[in-house]
Amino acid sequence: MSMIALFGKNSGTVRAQQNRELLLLAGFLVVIWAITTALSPRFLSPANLSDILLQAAPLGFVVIGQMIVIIVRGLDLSVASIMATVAVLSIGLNDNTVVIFAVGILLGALIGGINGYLVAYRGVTPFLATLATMIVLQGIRFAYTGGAPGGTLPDTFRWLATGDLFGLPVALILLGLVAIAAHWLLEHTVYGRRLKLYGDNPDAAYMTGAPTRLLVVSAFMMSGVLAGLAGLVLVGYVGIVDNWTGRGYELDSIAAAVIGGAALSGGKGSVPGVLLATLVLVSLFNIVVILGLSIELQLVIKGSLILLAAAVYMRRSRR
Amino acid sequence: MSEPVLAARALSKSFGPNDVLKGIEFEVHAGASVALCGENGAGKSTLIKLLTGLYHPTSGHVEFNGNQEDWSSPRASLDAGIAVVHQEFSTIGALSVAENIFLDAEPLTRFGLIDRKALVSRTEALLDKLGIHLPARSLVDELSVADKQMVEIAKALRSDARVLILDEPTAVLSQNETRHLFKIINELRARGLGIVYVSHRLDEIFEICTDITVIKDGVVTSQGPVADYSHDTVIAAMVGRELGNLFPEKPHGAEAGIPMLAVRDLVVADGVPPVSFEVKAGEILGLAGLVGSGRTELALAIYGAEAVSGTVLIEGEPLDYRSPSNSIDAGILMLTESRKDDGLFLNSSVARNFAATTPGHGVHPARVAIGHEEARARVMKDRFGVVVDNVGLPISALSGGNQQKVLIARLLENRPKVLILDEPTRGVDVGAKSEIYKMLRHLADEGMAILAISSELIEIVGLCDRVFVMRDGELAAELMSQEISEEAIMSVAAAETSSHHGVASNG
Repeated sequence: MSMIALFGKNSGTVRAQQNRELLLLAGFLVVIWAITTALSPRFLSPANLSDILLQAAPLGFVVIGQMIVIIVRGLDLSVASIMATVAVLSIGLNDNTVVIFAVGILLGALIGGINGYLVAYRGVTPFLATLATMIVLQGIRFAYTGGAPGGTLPDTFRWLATGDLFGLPVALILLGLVAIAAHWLLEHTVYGRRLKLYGDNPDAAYMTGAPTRLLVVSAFMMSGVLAGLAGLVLVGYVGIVDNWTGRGYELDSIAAAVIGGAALSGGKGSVPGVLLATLVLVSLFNIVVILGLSIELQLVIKGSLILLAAAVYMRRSRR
Repeated sequence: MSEPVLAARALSKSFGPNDVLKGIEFEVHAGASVALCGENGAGKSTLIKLLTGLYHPTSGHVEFNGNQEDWSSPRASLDAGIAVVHQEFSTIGALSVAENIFLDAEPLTRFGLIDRKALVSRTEALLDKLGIHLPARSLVDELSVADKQMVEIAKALRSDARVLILDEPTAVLSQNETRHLFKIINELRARGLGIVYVSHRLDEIFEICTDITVIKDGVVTSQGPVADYSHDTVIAAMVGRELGNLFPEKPHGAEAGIPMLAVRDLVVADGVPPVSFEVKAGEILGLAGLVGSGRTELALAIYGAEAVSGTVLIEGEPLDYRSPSNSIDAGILMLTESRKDDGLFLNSSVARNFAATTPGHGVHPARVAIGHEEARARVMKDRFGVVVDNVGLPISALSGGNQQKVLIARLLENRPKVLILDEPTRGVDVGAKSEIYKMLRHLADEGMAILAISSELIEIVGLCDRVFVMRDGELAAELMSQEISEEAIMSVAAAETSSHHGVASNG
C-alpha cells in the first residue's frame, strides 16, 4: 500500500484511521531496520539491539508524558530540566534507592503541578509556562550543586537502568509497566475519555461537565512524574549525575510524540504510536553511528522525519 | 423617477436543491434608504452577499449605475462603490483608528514604508467629512462599541461609495449612539448615497428609511414607500404563512405539572434587573427575542456556565455551587447554540460524542468497558433515526440534522429533569426539524420541563406552551397559549426601548 492509499482520503472510522497510522509507522521501522541490516549486519546483533532498547527507555517515559500533555493541547518544554533537577536533588539528598525514587516522583509531580496550575488557572500559554519552569529549575539546580553535582549512585540503581530481570532489561520492564498503565488510563477509563475529548474541544468538554482545569493540571503532573522517572533511569544508564542530564529530551520527546500521531491541536495520541516513534528516533541515531556517518546527519534526519510526519498527518486532517 | 444606483433584477440563488432566493426585484436610488426586512432565514443576508459579489447568482443579475455587473469578488464591488458594514466588526483592536480605516490601502512614502503623516491627515479629513468625531491616533481597543462601528463606517466609505449597506447596525448600540448613527446616515443620504438598512427594529425602520422591501422565504412579499406601511402591515408581510403540520399538536387545556425549574433573582449582566420565573413539568417554555436580547446569556446562567448572582432551584431544591457539571448532576442539561463551537467533538467518533457526558454509563463510575459506547450509540442511532453507517465514524461525517439528533440524544442519557435548548434546529433541514419537534413534545409529555430558545418565530409559536419575550436582558412580556403569535412576539421584541444595556451580541 502506498502512503497515498493509506492517507489519501479521510474515510473510515476514527479507530481504523488510527490503526492505519500505527501500521504505517511500524512498516517504516521495519524498512529502516532492513536497510541498515543489509548495509551493516552488525546492526541486528543482540548487543546493538539491547543498546537501542536501553537508550529508548528513558526517552520512552518522557514521550508518554509529553503525549498526554499534547493531548490536552499543551506542550512541556521543561521535561529535560525536570529530569536533571530530579536526578540531582533526589540523589544528592539520599543514597537509598527507594527514597530516591519516592522523592523523584513527588518532585516531578510538584513541578508538573506548578506547570499545570500556571496553564489551567493563570491562563499562561503552555509554551511560556514550561519555558519559565525550565529556566527556573536550571537555576535551582546550579545553585544546589554549585556547578559540580555530587552524590553516589547505589548499586541497585545501576541495576535498574542496565541490569536484567528474567532476561529482559529492567529499565524496559519498568517502561512496559508504565506504558500499559498509561494506555489503560487513556483508552479504558472515564478520565482518559475526558482528556481526549477536552483536547478535541475544550469548550464542549466544559459544557458536558468535564472538570477541565483539573484535567490540564493532572496531565502536566503526569508529564512531570514521568520526566522525573526518566531522569533517574537515564542517570543510572550513564552512571553519573550531571547538571545537563536529559539535555535535548524536550525536543526529542515532542518530535517522537508528533511522529507517533499526537496532534499538537489536541485530542489525539496513543501510547503504542508514540513508543513506536521513540523506537524509530532512537534507531535512526543508532543507525547513523553504525554506518559510520557523521553525527551531524542525525539532526538532518530527525528534522526531515518530523516534516515527513507532519506532511502525512496534515494530508489526512485536511478536509 | 431616476435610474436606481443599485438594483437586483430577477435575482435567484440556489444551494443544491434549496432555492434560497427566487426572482428578487430590488432597487436602491441615490438619496434613498431602503429597509430590508424579513425573519431569520428569509434570505436577507444571501441577497446582500449577491449584491456585493460574495456569492454569484444562479440566475438574474445585479445592476450598478445602470450597468449589468458580475462582481468577481467583494473587493470588486467595494472598489466600484458599494460599501458594507457587517454586523460582526472587522476592526483590529491593536491598531489605531487611522490604521484600521486605511488597512491594506495605506498611503506609502517613496521608500515603500507607510506614510504616517499622510495616513493621519487623510483619516482626519475623512472623519471630518463624515461628521464623525474620533481621534485618528487612538487604539481601537480603547473605543466604545459605537465608536468602533463608526470606524467601520468610515472604513467602508474611505473611497467614494455610492451605496452603503448596514447590517443590523444598532444591535449593539445604546439609544444615544443610535441617534448619532441616524444623524450620520441622514447626512450621507443628503449627500446622495443610497442606503440599504437591515434591521429587526421596526421603529428604527420607520424613522430612518424611505422605502421598505420585505422578503419571506426567498421571495419579495411586499415593497413600497415607507409611508404606505404600518408596523402591522410590515409584520404581516414578514410572517404571514401557514404553519402546516410541521409541529406536533399542543396539549389542550391540560394542566402543566409541578414547577420543575425555578429561577429566582438571577442577575445576568450589570444594570439588568433580576429575572425570576418557573418552568413546570410537561411544559415547553419559549424564550423569544432579537439576537442580542440576552436569551443565550440567561440560558448559560441557569446552566451554570457563567458566573451570576441569584438562585436556581430544581423541584424546589436550591442548587449551591454552580457549574455545568453540577447542573448535569442535578438534572439540568443544555444544548448549546453553536454545535461546532461548544457542542461537538469534531475529530471524535459518533459514539464518543454521544457518550461524552456519560462515558462509563451504567457499568462502572470510572471505567469504560470496551465497545460499550459503540453498543449504546447503535441503540441510540436506531431509536433516533440517525443516518450513519457506523457509529465509529467521525461525527464530522454527519449532516447537521443528524449531528443535532446525536447531541439531543446525548442530553437524554443523563435522564434530565430540565432541558435547555438554544436554537434546537439551527442549520437543520425541514424533515429533521419536524422530527426534533415531535421528540421534544414527547419528552415534555413524559414530564420533562423544557426551555427552548429560538430566533425562528414560527418555531416558538408552533412548539411552545408559554413564551417569554426578551428585550435588553429583561423578560419584556409573557404570552400564554392563545396569545402566542408571531405578530405579538415581534411587536414586543422589536419595540423601541426606553433604556439600553449593551448586552453582548451573541444572544
